[in-house]
Amino acid sequence: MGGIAVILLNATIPSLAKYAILIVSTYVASNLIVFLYNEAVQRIWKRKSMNLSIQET
Amino acid sequence: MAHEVSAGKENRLFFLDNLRTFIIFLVVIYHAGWVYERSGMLSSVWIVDDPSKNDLAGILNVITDMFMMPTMFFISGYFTPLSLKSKKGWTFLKSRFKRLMVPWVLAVLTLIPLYKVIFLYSRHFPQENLASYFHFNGTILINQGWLWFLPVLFLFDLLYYFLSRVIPILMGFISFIL
Repeated sequence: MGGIAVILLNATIPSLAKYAILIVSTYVASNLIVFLYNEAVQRIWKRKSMNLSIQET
Repeated sequence: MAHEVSAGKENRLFFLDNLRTFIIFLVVIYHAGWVYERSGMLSSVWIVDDPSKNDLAGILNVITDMFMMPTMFFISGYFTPLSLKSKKGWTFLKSRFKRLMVPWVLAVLTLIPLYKVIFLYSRHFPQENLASYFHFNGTILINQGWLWFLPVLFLFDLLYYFLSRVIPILMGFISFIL
C-alpha cells in the first residue's frame, strides 16, 4: 500500500480518485501476492512428492 | 477422498468466509483512508501522508473502525472451539503458533523495516541507521506497528486453551463439594 501511495503522491488527480485507485490496487496486489505464494508452495510440494515417488520406485 | 472433500465443502460456513473477505476489503479501505483523511490524526506516524485530502476517507474510517476488528476477532473466536476439537492439546497450540506467531516474526523482520524506508522516503527525510528500522531500543523490541492483532489472537488462543482445561476440573470440584 505504501509503495502505491508514494507513486500517487505526485499524481495531479483529485484526492478521491487517488483514494479509490489506492484501495483497488492494494486489494488486487495483495490478493495477487497471496495467490502467487500459494501457487509457488503447491508447486514445491508437488515436485517434492514426485521426487519421493521416483526415489521409491 | 472425493467424498471427504465434498463433506468438507458441505460443512463449510460460506457466510463467514464471505464476511471475512468483506472485512478484509474494509481493512484495506481503512488503511488507505489514513493517507488522505483530513483531520491529520495519524499524519505524523502513517506510512505516507498525501497533502491532497478528502472528507470521505475520514468518515469511512470512523464508521469502519467501530466494528471491523471486533468482527474479525469474533470470526476467529467462533472457529477456535472447532479447531481445538479437531486438534488436541499441544497440536492445537503448535498449529496456532505456526499460523499466527511465525508470520508475526517474519513481518516484524521484513515489513516493519520496509514501512520505515517508505515513511522516510515519502517525506524526503534521509534514511537512518539499520537498528532503528527494526524498532530496537538497545536489545528490546519496542514496536510491532500494525501487527498487534497477531500476538493478541495467539494470547486469546492460549487463554481459551487454558480455560478449556481448567473449567472442567473446577466444575468437577464444585459438583464434588455440593
